[in-house]
Amino acid sequence: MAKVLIVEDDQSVLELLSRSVSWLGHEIETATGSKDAINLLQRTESVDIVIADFWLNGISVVSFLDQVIKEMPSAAIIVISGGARDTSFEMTKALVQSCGPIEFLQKPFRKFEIWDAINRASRFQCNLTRQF
Amino acid sequence: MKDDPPELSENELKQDFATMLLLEKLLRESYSNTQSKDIQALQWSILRYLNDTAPSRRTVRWISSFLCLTHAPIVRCIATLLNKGLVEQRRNPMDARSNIISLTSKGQRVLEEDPILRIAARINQLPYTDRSHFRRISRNIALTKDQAEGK
Repeated sequence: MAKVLIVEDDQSVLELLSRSVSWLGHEIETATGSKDAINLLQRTESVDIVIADFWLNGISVVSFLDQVIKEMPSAAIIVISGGARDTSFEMTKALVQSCGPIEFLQKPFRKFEIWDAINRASRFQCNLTRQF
Repeated sequence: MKDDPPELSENELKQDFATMLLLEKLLRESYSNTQSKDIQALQWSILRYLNDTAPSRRTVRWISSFLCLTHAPIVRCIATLLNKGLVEQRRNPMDARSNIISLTSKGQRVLEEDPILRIAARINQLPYTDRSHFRRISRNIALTKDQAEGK
């Protein structure tokens, strides 16, 4: 069982992600903004996986990703995105992956796709076991 | 990172312009120096996307969405890549109206000559601190101030 932090400002996506991830048997923490998420990371002993929307309340999570990598270097990170008017998914993915070994998943996605992303992200981290 | 003062001198503007010109030339020359120089930039973007994406998302619709383009230029590019033998397509088992596009082994070999790889290799040779700064600065330039600060 892994500890997963989900950071998403859209309530319906947050609920979908929470259900999908908890179906795998993982423990879940949630936050709706990057500041809350960082506070949570600083209070928590460890988080194994962080799933974050690229745009949180109109702000990109690039700074947040840098902080996650600094606070929890062993955490696997997945960034999801529904897109933005001025930024293509191609650009978003490049922005994300220039921060570190981060999985990128374009919305909309199905449950099995987030499960696959979790498995791929987890392969970077030696301390996680597959749940399937 | 300190903010620049609101009024930049003409010399500073010229320096920044020259720096961006350097990067533009570097990228343009890398595209023309490769053995696969008859592959256009958009075609490279499609090849890279196909190399790094699950089959269910390798359709014209998903490629167009990813690259933020309409279907027409994507369909034309894929036709060109098919003619060059770099990609192949098969009927999508989940949707008979669309095709799944995949790299051929020739397409995979061509990707090894990706022009971006040469520049990435030069970045890789920079000292660690310079590399980190370069990545961060590139991201800062790519995002508008509003996108970075949420205004």
